[in-house]
Amino acid sequence: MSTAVEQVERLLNLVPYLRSHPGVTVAEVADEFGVSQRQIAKDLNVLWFCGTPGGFADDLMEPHVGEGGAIHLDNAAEQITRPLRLSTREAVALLVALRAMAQVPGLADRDSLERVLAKLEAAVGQSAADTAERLSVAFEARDVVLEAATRAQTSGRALRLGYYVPSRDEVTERTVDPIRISMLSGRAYLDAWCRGSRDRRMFRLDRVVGIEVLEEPAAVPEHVKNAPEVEHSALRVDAQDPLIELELAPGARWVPEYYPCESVSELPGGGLRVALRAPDQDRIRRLVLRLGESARVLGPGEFAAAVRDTASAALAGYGSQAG
Amino acid sequence: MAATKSERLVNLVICLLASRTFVPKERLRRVLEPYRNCPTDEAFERMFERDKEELRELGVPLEVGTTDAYFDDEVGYRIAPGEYALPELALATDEAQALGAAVRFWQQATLAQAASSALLKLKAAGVEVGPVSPVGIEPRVRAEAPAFEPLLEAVYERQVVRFSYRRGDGEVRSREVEPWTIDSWRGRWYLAGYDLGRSDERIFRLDRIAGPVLLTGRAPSHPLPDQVDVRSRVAAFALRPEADLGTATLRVRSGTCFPLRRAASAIEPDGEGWDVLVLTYRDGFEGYVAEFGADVVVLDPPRLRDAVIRNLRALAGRGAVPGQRLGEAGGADGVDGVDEVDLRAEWETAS
Repeated sequence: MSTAVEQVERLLNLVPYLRSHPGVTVAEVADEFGVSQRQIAKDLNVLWFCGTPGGFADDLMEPHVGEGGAIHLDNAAEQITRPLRLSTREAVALLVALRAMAQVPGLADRDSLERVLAKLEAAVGQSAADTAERLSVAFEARDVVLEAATRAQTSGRALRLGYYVPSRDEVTERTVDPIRISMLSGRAYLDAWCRGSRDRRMFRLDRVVGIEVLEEPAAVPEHVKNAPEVEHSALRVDAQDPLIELELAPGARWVPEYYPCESVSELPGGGLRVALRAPDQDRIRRLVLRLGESARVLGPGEFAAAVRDTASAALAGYGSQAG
Repeated sequence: MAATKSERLVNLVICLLASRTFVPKERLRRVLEPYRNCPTDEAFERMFERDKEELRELGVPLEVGTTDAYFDDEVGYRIAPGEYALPELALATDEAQALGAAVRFWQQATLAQAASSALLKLKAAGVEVGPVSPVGIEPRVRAEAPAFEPLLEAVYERQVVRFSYRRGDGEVRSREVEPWTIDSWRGRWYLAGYDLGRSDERIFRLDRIAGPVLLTGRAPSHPLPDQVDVRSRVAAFALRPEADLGTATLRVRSGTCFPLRRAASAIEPDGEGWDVLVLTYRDGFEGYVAEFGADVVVLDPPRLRDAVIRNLRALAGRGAVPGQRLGEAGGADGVDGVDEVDLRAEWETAS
């Protein structure tokens, strides 16, 4: 979109905005519209030359900026005192989000979502509502766990969790103080303060094997409560972690789709050569064990040795047949 | 200058909204000063054509019609106020909050931007959208596959797309598709549409689209089926359970292999420090079992046992054992998926 067209879009919104927010300041408007205060001043200057056609001075709009930057729009052209209807794209973005959220199990305010959805559908028109039908997001979460986690979080109580840690193959028991529940890439996570480890942790709800809402109130430490949202630990990769290189057979081409790889290159015959990092090497060691003969460790040497040792130890369980 | 042009476009919108009838082009030229000042007819035509284009780009519903009931040669323009303006929308406080949460839903740039510009229009209309309450569930969605953006565009613009697609078995082929729906299941995006090369419905995973997605500019020629049906087929494809292959008996070390224990239909102690489990297994299970290393030994069936041994031998550097691999299947093309062992199954198969 050209600068002029963007400005027109803003102006058609600005006129109704100024009418519904009399006395709003230039700074507030700039913030709301995501442009500089200078730009808002320029926009207001354009409005002085806009109005009902006729060519008389009193047909034009009069945006006055008073003390403290408060804007008062006089003589607003009545034809544009309502904003333009939502574009298909705008309507789709809202409708699809609302529909997806309304399906989330355990969501407390599903009722309000459904009401606003119905009102919005009526307001955007059939064609936009139809297009929105073509895009959807489904969440999946275990009802019981999510429901209990939500209950604890909204009522401000602590939780007792049985949490499975695959890298250690054990279920850990812990008491946590919920901060928020987020859904990302189709999965539900509980962002919570873990009392045992005295750290903020992200728990995958599909790994929760036991959950109990405790009577005692949640006690998230102040400094944690006000800290910005943490990255999902599952997705956090540190450049300090060693880079592991693997050669994959064609049947293991799915690996980079699940594991963030730093580099992926094609090999003759349909295989791949990948390099990946993970905070705990154990996760990649388990991946290699899973892949079996579809994977070969190229380096580093210690990692290759760890894989060899685990495989040999496991093989010992099969006795002479395997030797 | 930009300002002059913006001024002209806003005045054109006001002028067309103000008139109940179609306004002839000549009248617009007389009424609006920038048009009046055009030195030639050509200059005016060029400017006016451009202006119409740009207003349509903004979504202004510009209508064309004849201005005279008796002579249909005079063309005029208007904007119907009912088509232009956002209808009245009265939201209760909780509804406005829900809307605020919906605006934060998208982490994908195009959709996030569309959601916030929609919000701004609603605010301009006087809808008060309060701050999102700090408690509660916050769903967020990303769409990282580069194919997402152009496919969304193709759905909006109703165009046939072309891309190369890599099947699970590694085959890469160019596809021409009439897009129907784009759906996310378990955090992964799928495109359903009519595959023109195969003359049939197909479902594609967006993360398997290799290279750019081209919009062909051609409109789809096949009817769009009912979305509910399409969606249920995509769901079945995305969430399809792998077939059970039978019953396996495993020997596992006490206090280990928790997910296997959870999936077991029977657990019996078996000597000091070991238990024997019975469970049903699925394709790819030999890999899953191997993850537990020396804490598990497959006793039965022999097919599964051999598959595990072969994998372990390869990793232990003792060379390959001849024989067919377990679960080895050809490149079936049903709904485009020879599929890998879903890593997500890591937990779900076991629970």
